[in-house]
Amino acid sequence: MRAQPSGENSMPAPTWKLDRRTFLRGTGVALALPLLEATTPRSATAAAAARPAPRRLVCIGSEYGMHAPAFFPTETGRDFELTELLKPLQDSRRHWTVIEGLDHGVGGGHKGVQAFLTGVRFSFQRGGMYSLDQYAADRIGSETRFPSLPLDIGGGNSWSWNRYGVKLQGIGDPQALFDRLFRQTSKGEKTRRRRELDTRGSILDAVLASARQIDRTLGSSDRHRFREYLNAINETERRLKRAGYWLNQPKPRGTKTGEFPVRKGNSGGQDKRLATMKLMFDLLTLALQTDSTRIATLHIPGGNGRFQIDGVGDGYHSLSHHGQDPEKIEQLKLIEIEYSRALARFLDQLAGVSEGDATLLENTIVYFGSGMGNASSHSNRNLPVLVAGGGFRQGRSLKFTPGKTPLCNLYVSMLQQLGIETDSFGNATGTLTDFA
Amino acid sequence: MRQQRQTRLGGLSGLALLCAVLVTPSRAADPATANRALRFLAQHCLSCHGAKTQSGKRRFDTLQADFSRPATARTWQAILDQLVAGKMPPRKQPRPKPAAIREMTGWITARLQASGQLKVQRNDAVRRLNRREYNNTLRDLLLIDTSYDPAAGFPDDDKAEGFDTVGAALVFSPALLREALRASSDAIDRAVKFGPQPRVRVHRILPRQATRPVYRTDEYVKIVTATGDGFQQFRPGTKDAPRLAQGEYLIRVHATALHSNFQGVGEIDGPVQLRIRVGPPGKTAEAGSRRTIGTFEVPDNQPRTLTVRARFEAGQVPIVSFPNGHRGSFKNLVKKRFGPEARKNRAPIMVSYDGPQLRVFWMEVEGPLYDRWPLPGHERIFGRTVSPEDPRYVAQTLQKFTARAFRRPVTATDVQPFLALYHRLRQRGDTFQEAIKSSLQAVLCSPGFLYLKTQGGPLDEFAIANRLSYFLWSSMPDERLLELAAKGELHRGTVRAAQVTRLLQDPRCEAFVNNFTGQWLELDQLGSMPPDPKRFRHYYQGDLETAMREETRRFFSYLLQQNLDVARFLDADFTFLNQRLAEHYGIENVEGANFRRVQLDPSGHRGGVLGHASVLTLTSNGTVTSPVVRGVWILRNLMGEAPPPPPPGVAELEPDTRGATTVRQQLAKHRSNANCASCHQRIDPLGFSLEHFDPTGRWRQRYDRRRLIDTSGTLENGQQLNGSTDLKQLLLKDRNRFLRCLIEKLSVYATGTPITAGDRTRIDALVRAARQHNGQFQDLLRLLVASDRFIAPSATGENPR
Repeated sequence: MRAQPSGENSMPAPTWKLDRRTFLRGTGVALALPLLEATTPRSATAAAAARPAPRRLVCIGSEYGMHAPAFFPTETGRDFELTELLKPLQDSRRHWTVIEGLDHGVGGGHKGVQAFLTGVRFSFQRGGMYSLDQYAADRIGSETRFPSLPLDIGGGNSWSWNRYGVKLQGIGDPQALFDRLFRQTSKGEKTRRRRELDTRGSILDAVLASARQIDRTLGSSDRHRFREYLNAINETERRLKRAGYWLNQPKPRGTKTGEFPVRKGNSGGQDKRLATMKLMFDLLTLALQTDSTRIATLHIPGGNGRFQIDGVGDGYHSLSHHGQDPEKIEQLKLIEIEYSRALARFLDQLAGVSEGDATLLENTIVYFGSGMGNASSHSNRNLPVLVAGGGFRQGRSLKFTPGKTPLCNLYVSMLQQLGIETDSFGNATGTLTDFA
Repeated sequence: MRQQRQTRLGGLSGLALLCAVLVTPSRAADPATANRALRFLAQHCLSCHGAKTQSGKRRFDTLQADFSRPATARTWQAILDQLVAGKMPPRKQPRPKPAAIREMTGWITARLQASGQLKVQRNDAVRRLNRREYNNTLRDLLLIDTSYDPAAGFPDDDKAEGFDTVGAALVFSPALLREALRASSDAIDRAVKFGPQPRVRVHRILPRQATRPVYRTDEYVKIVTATGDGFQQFRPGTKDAPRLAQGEYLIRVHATALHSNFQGVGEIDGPVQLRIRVGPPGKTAEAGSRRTIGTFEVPDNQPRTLTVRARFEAGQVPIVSFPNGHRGSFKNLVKKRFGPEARKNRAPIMVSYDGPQLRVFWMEVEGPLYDRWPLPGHERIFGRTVSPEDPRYVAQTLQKFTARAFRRPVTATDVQPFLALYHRLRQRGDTFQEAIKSSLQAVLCSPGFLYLKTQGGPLDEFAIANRLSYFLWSSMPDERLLELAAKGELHRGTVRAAQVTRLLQDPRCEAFVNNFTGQWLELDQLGSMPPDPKRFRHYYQGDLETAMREETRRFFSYLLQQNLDVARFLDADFTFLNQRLAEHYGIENVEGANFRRVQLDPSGHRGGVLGHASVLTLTSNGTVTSPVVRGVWILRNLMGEAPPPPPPGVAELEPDTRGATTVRQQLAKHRSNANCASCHQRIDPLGFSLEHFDPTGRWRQRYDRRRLIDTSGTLENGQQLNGSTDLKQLLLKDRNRFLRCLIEKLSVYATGTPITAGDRTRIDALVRAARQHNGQFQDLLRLLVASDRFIAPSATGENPR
């Protein structure tokens, strides 16, 4: 069995460093507006500043990738010209690096996209899929209420596969995410939940006793498969304990339940998916800032819905299969530029929050990419990669010879930056050269 | 004998080869033969599969005659497959003598049989229920309606070998356990209801309680469009909605239509329709949270009350709409009919609107209705009278339930954990009702319920009963099967075969039809890559996708129930159509939404599944047809061959929708690369023969004005192929191959274990027997279920662990 995440029994006190009462008051309303613009960044309290700031990881990926010719710059180094899809990120360019020529060496088209954070082509083999974020969460995620937050736009998809090779359900509804992060649990609710946890614990005890009886009768090969079931019980029991612990910890306070315009079917004339994406980014900033989680992923879905963007007339999937039709490519770029804008806004928000001597962005690796290199030909090669913040040396354009360097090398670099001692992940051959 | 008439492949008699495969292994270990086999390789194979080049990533110069190593044995197996099919050596190379091939194939077969490789995989491994099986088992165990999909929150089941019944892919995870805890608690709440039957109440919903409809009076809600404006519906508002508990209710809707014959902007086709749905109250709803209960035609000027019965989830309400009304908002309708100025002042137009409309006067919900009380599931568990304070009653109740849930007899030890749980909760202060429900929940989360076969060793009688029922019903065995198991009868093949006949007569065998067509023919994939709505608008009209699926499903079901030759899958002179699908096919005189058997004109290209729009659509990517995808589909599902995925480093095809090149030109380039050619020579010609079918399965004469369709191709063995008729001929000629493929698929689905080298002789025998039964579908199932392969792992039945 893999090493258990640490900190089961020594759960620390929550470590958010905000003046939480003043900060979060009214954010339920502010969330609908560009977040944090109105609030000045708060400095941490002296007591909290004594602890080193936590390191964090956010992985954002789109199903259909980014149109490569409009994404990768021609030049390398610091003085590169911004491409169409990178222009929206101009203001923060010293905080990020764009990298060309990396991939996982897998094929599979839309199926191959699943390799985005796992590095391996989809396989049902136990433990075959284990995503970067979960790998990190299993090691550094145990100190927060949410070891990780897999997010989606609208749906329940995610890029996250846990160490059992099971895909995690994403949270796609901003209201649901808000409630989980900030809605306080009432006293009555707490009593009810405690009783529920106790019932559940007792049920698990019975189930485990029943499973042990069966386990004894099985042969070695069957027993091996059955181990998954026993692990699930153990894991669930551990989670019950954690849930019991966090039930007694107040959530970051000071806000009323937010109402989100998107939920009312009114996104102010803006495309619903894009509006939802912005809300998710806003909430993600809050989640990181309040140290509710340190690891998150955001899944940007595909599908053939039409974006409500001026100049876009075709469905997203149809556009991704542009077949080199220049008109379709133009439309596709209009959509992808919106992704860049949302990302730019997110980076600005993170950079606007200070943590000790640094900013939230400097303590957070933001990785934007995809498992799709060219959606038109279903190619999973030469994937779009942009890494921001996290204390890396940023502001550059890097190029690697296509097909030579595993993208997982970058993942190892990121894991090390998070303070995880490892020199392998997926098919990595080491860390990424010239990136630290 | 008819079944011995074999096709000639690569100049070799298939019959001769089949015999060769079955040669008795007298010379199995003969080193001289082994040397001759290696010489055969050197002479015929190493120029492409040697030290210098490894076509198809195969390398034989280092291959040993050591069959004890699994990897080596698999390679020999692959060589055997190629030789038997006559595909290797390729046709441009000199042919080995038939006698040499016979010796080679005989030797490999014998060595595979003699070596330990025959027991590479057991087929009696434990596996958990998949989602479908979980739902159906809850249905039959708790006697509840499970159309609400209890397993909706479970992680998706992965497939192996194309099926979701294969143990290796059915992983278990904490997420699944969490969902199982939730789903079991919910299901028990539906099945178990203590106390007297809840009073039936009638809730009437009046127009003033509707959520902001576009127009209403005190008397009625007026609905004039199908979509748009958001509120062209009669739906109770969140505040006024009756708070209904989960259960069955009667819905009554009092309504009439007006002006259905109106002509002009806003006109409709046929009478006004009224649709009743059930969903959450209020203005918005998550996609898919509303369920259609029924759509009715409403006559003009005759207010009537429509009544339907429907299942409500807690908090849901009825919603009425006008599905065939004008598509678009009322604003848009006014603009089109009265000009852009009029749309600014729409209210008076709405008051006196003279176009087709629906007037809904009121709605009623009556319930909850129970056909029986106590509920059948409740009574099954607790009997007529509940004696909560009698410890013997509690123990017996739990024992009875555990036995039914585990689908086998249980001992006191088996029940002990659940009984202990009951007592623990009672001590904590829970009531009998709370404690017993939690105990039942624990039973449903324990492996005895969630897993098939939970005891070591070969399948026992009860495990066989389970295997049978999960094969044909995707659900738990019924009492008859369990009785036979208790008597020890199910070890007899004839008894099992007779049970197949019985199980197929039960409506539960629909599960087999749906799941097997869904997975073998991959119908589950239909709709996952929907066609571009701009270019294929027709695909989205009149529920075409559902009709496509239904055609194939009915066709399969018909072959099964009529016990017809499974070769009809490859070609048939009939199919099942409704009007919408017939129009899609250009077939006339099929009217109405109902499906019926339709005799096909041979020139229509529609006979067999390769003419079904479902298959043709699901093998396209939604934009253009892909001969590669179609070719692979045919190889995999009709010919039983799984071409390897393209090697890494190969550029994917860049589709060109501008029309500069055809897919043929692109693929020709692909095949000029020897690496690609080895597989694409087999794949592409099959796919090209279906090029006359567009991405939605419509027949087309040409791609567009400039580009003509060319369906010609040459198979690896030199055979010419041109069009779907040739393709079907090719498949029909090699009927054994299709039979083998289907039997293997059925066998994997039924037993949850992949086909291995050790199964070869058994499958061979099944193919022969199926031929003797003229390939009749039910006979084939009986043969399979009666065979040893169904219950025991290896060729000999001896398979020490």
